[in-house]
Amino acid sequence: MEDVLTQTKFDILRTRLTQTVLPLTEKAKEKAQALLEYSDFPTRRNEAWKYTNVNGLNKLLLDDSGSKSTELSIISKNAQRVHVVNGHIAKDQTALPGVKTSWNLLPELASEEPFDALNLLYCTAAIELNFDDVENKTIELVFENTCNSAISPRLFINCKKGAKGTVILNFQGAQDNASFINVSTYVEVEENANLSIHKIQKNGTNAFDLQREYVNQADNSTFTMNTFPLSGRMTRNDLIINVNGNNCETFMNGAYTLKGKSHCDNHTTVDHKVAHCYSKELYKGVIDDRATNVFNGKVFVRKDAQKINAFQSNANILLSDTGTVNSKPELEIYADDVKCSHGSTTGQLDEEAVFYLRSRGLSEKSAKELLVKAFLGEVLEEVEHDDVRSYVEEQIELHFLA
Amino acid sequence: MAQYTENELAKDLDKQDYKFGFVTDVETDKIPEGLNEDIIRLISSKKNEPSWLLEYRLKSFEIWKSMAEPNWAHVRYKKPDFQKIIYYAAPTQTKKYESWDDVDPEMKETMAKLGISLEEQKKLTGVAVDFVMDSVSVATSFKSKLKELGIIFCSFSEAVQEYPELVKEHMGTVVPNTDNFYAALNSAVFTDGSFCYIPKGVRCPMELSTYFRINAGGTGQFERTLVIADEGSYVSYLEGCTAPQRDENQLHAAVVELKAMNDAEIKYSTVQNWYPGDENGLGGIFNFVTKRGICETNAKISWTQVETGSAVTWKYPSCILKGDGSIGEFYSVAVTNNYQQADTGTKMIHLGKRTKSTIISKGISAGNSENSYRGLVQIQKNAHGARNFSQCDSLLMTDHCGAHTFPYIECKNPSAQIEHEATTSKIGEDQLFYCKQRGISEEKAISLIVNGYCKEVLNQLPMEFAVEAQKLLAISLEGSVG
Amino acid sequence: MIEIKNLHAKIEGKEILKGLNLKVNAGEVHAIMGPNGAGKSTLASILAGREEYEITEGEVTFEGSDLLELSTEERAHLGLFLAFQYPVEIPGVSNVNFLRTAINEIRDAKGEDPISAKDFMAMVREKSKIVELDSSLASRSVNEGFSGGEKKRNEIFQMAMLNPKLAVLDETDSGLDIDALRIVAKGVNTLKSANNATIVITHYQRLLDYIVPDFVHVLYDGRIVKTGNKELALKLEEKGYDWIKEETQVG
Repeated sequence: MEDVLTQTKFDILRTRLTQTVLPLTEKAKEKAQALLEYSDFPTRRNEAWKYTNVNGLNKLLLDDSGSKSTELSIISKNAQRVHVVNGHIAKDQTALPGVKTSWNLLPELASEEPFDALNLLYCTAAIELNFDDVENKTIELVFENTCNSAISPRLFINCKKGAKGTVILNFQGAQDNASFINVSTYVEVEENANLSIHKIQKNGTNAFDLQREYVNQADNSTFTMNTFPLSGRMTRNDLIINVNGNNCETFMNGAYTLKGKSHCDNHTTVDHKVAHCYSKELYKGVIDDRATNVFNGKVFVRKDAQKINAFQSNANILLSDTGTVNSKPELEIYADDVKCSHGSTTGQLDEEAVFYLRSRGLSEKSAKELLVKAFLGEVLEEVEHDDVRSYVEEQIELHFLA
Repeated sequence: MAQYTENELAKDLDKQDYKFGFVTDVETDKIPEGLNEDIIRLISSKKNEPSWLLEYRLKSFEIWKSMAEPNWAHVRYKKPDFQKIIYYAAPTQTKKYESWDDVDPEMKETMAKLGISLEEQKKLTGVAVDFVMDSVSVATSFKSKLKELGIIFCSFSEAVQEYPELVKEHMGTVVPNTDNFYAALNSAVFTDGSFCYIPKGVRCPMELSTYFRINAGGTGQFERTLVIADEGSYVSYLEGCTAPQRDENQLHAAVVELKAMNDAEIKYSTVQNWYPGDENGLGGIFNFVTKRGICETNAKISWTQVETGSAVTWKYPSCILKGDGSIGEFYSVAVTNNYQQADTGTKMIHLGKRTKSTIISKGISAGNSENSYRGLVQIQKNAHGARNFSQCDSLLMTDHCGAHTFPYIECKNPSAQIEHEATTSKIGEDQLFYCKQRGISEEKAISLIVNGYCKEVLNQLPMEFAVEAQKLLAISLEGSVG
Repeated sequence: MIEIKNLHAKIEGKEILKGLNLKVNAGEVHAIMGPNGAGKSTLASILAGREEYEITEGEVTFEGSDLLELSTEERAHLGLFLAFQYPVEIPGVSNVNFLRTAINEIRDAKGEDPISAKDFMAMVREKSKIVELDSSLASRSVNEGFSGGEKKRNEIFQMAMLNPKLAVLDETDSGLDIDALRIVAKGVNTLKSANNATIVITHYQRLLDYIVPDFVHVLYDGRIVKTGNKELALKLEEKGYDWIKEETQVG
């Protein structure tokens, strides 16, 4: 099923992107360019893209057409907010404590990922968030995507020693928006720090959203990443967490509701490099219509990383005859004193439960809705931020109304 | 209660080294090393094969040449030099034996060392054994008794001569020569193997058993097994593998094809104990095997394997659940020690309605070894009501080894139910202490606990195989405590 | 039988036993009581040879051997038995297989031949009656899926099968209802002889209504601070441990 538009490099896509806003050194530029020239455009022969075909990216025009305004959804009224409109930082939003948008440091490519190189070379907004206080402050980045544009924000989030912080990454796309969203987020969680990131991806039905988070955790830190891919043609998230410090806790949660022709792919990696850490991952979702969900969770436990407890779980409910679920939970363990487990289930709603609810007077539709909400509820319970939780709950309601 | 105990292993526990590391000194008829069309023609003519089979071999060779060696598995090894392998080695006495008394005494001794003294087995267990040393099947027992029931159990070469239509009809239909690199190679150069046909409605009254053994130095073993269970029949097939101790790596690339027609059942059990290399990782067998079965309506195929040998193992006994209501099962114990590497698991392809599959995999890693489970559960669009349950557990004995789990789950039908669970943990300190407090030594406690851990799989094996498997587990894990 | 002299032991740098002395002769039943954290289970673990504990001082002589020099299984071979507070589950290993292995290892250590299957099964039948253990439990996996009471009865069943010289019962009464308690105690009393001895470690007095001790010791803060007869246990039941604490502090 190779696409007609098969091509081997990133050339087509690159012609449609605009110059980076970042002050790059020649060396950094060359490095990123070299990676792009060296890399093939991903195909299904590539294990990391086995179930996800991104050829459609090359058909996006990215000509800034369309200007319908979104019904702007802000998630947390009490948060400090930065607005990014069609990829660019809204001018009047920048003078907030802990937020930097002017660039002093010269960023360089830190990964081997061609989409990260694209993000660097064609960056549309760079934002640095710093948390240095024990008071848990929330910063919300609102990405309003109304035009069919290339949107390439590069984010740096630092949670300093002993500090606490919460970040909401709120992606809101116009109904049938056809943008290419390509986000790289670099996160440092320093010693004894506690950082939570909530990511909401409510993209337009034709949008491609490819995101990567690279996270480093130092000793005694806690990091939570909650991911909610709610809509979009194609969503691909790569969450890579390096647990470099002892006594860390890591939580990864995800809930997805897919319908239409949407394709969602969550890749997560938690790499336990040292001893005495705990990680827990829970991704759950429902797949309807012709939608496809891909889950690939990797847990690495390196040699000498003893006393690791790592748990991973992925559960899917397939609601339609034409939906697809691909799940690949992986464990790679090189230390012996560990407790690791993973589980993956795919199935449908419990017919008995549906019947039971109907016998109590619920319609079939609302019975199913109730059960799906209960199914996803397990993930939502993990979300400590009230505004985020109630927003996602509301979106799940709307998902069923539509 | 169980009729055997780990106590019976006690005596074997003293023998730390590879028990089967001896070479039988019989004359062998070898052809020159290397691989080309002439070699394939030579193999085919030595075996007096019909022209269609030679053509199949040559076609497979062409396909093989166009393929690249796969490298996706979680194993690392020096690629074999395919021109340095001798593709045919047969003991020179290839005449068929009328009775066991006629068998070369050296050969008998080999069998005795393997612990499968044929006479004894005949008397005690009623197992019919097809003994494959290097490439030619030298003896088959119980043939006449089976013949009465219409069961065909013979060497592959014999089947080619005696039952060419059956071979031609089924060979390559489950594992085509285009399937993968090693299957293509096997299709080009296979020398012998076993063939089994169970007629309609017949329940094979005894376990059919084949022992494979690589004897001559520098030879590869490319055997081919084809088991056909016609409608409503049943067969339990056992395969044991050993090889002598040698410094160089030897390649073993077998193909096994199973066909279970409507309502038929095939139980295929393997105890694989190829030479694993020494404690420094020198030598050992590369075991790259393609095993697959097709189930027609309401048929069942059950794979059970106990893998303790080989330097590198790459094998995924699979089931294509084509017919409605068919069942696939995979029970596996894979033990790796020292520098062994294993990447093994199964593929369950659900095509028919109400198809069911069960996967139970127990991996045990010790020494500096790498042990991976890799499995695919695929539910196709029309597989309404398909069910899968997978349980993959890994036990770690030291902190130098690796235990990995790579399950692929693909579902295209909403009425399917798939459950996968996996755990990885170290051997329980509390369990060891409890055993020791009751007076049981550490080595024996480990053997006891590991055997208990693998019980679900070992229970699937016929009794005499289960005992042997337990012994192998104990021997493989000796001195493995981290 | 066993003599413990001035035993000091630590775990993870924390001193738990601080000079414990105890002598038990053949034919005797000793009860060791004390509040939580006094070191009761530590004592049991050290006698059985758990390696997490570091012995910093003192000696233990068992049947004329230096116990602390022996491995866990060698202690078992000499006839030391610990009934665990939390018996561990060993999936897939049947109780009988487990016990037959243990018995033969012990026999082997003494230079005796392995027990025959027939004698072994006869012994299983006979001994399982002592603790009213359902014979199906004997063929089930060791402790797997057993109720709390079944696990404890299984411990006493194993004790009957292995016929130890010294049995240490670590909180064997915890989690037992009155019927199970009675069965366990009956088992212990049946096995009692002039040639063996029992140390009963318990938090509550109620077990001692059924297993009557010759001596009752109070273990507090890593030492035996008071020794008496059965009356002492009753007094502890009535008044708790506070008066002991006060007495000790005054002393």
